Amino acid sequence: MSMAAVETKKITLRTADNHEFEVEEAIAMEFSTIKTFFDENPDASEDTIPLPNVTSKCLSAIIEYCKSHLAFRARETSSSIDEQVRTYDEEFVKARDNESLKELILAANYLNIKALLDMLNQAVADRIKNKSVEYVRRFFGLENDYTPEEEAAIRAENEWAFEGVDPDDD
Amino acid sequence: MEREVGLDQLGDLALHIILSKLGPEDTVRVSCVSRRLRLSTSEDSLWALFCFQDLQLSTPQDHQGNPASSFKAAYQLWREAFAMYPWPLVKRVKRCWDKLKNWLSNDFPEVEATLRSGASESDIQQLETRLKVKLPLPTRLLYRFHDGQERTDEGHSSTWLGSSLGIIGGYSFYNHLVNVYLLPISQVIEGTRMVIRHLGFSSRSKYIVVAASAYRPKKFFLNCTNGQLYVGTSNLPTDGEMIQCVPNALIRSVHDLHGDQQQDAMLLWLEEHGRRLENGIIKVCEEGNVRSISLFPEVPPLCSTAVTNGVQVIVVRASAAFVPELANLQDSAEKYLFAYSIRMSLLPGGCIIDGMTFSSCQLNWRHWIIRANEAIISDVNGEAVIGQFPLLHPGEDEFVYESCTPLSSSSGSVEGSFTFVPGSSELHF
Repeated sequence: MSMAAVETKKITLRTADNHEFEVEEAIAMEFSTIKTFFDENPDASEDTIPLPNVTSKCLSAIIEYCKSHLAFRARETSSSIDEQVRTYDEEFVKARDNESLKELILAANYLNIKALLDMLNQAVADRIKNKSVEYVRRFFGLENDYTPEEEAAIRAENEWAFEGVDPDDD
Repeated sequence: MEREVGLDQLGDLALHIILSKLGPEDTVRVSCVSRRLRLSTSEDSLWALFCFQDLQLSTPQDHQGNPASSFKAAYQLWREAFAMYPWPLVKRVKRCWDKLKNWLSNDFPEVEATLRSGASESDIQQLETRLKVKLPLPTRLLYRFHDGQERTDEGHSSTWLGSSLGIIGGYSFYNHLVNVYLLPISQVIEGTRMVIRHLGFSSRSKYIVVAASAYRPKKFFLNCTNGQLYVGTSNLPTDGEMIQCVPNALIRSVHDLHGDQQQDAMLLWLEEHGRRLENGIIKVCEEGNVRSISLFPEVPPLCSTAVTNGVQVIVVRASAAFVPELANLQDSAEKYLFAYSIRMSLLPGGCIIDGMTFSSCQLNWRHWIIRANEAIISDVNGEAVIGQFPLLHPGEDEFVYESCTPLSSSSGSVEGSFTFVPGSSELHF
């Protein structure tokens, strides 16, 4: 017995580096920015949506994420499903370097994918938790624009915040 | 193409979320990174979150209740005030006091008013110097928040009666009346010196008196070396005999600043007391016009309820309390004493028997079986209770009486039945 093929609606997205991605409607609706756009322009579904702020590398990762989470949500909730979601999220961020993590945050922020954004922000928080000021500086790629006196003053005012910091090992 | 994603591009929202997940210590460190980041870390909504998470504060105030200019300032003041303690312990002690005070503000505000404000580090130092002890960390913190209770004898005609506002509460049966207070540091010093003088404790002993009863003598001692709490038995004056109050296995790291999860008996004791009050296991009771916290449990499983089989519905509730100050560990038969409280009430709805209407009932007979562990040590069958035949009217307050029984073991039971007659036992002819 063959199953009748169900026509799932596809949406086309074009990234900043001019790649086109065809995604199922359900997945595109996970991007609140796009969902809002379609709510306001119901006739626009045939058009290609430009995403000038998202690279193809980011978009393909994000599509993977949304696809997997949609599949998780379709199953019955249970503690083993929660465990699988946790493992998937951990794996999703583990291999990425700090740069790609930040790029993903920008993309998730632009596309307004709340759950992904929250998860990525947590991952960044986990990476800089308990680290030294220098480490955080390097992570964000920022220059120290304090004078030594100014920085020393902040530290002195808040001694309680500088105990128990992990040593930098990189 | 490698793109360096700078912080500016991350956006304030993402940064705010990251900082709120990082917590207060890391947020301060992030503020050292650059001026741009300092702006983001200064947002007071962030510090409002931290104040709420750590200290359950919804308005900016310091640890003495004075208003602060912002949540950021408030958080700073708290950390500075308690810089010499592990922060997780500070949070835990605050939660312990908050739980007690929440219950008090709803159910017994007169007691909340007796809580003195926190002792200073130098007050505590004085105690340690004068008594030559080092207080366990959790107990120090408990005093930093509140320096015991103010004893007032206002409103009572006889000064020996003292007051009924002890936060630990007590019980009364026959002429034994007990109501336990937390002592302020000044009385801890005085009380401990008296104990050393009169009870012959060694002046090098590490015991200090931390709680005591108005009325009948009942004293609680904290051992500053091991952090355990003890209560004196009837042999305290002669032999310094005491019973420990908290399971030893729970006490940890009481002097270790870098230990994990320090807890001493005083903290555990107050936490448990707060839990019982919050869950309604023990409540405020009124006797005469005097309100006090009663240690007779009010809810199952520590309080049993029985309902009569019969034409009238009578509810009897019973619970017991251990009386350590009358224990005598040297007597095998009567080592422990338990007090019990029996409460009876008649539910509304009169009954008709043989054409006569009865809306009251009277106690006539009672049968008691008392066991120590499983062995029956007392089987009493007789009329009245404590010499009385209580007459119950429907919808009245419960008739309550207390009595006590010695036991040779630390666990036992009292089982019994009451017989009531409808109307009253004075029959009308």
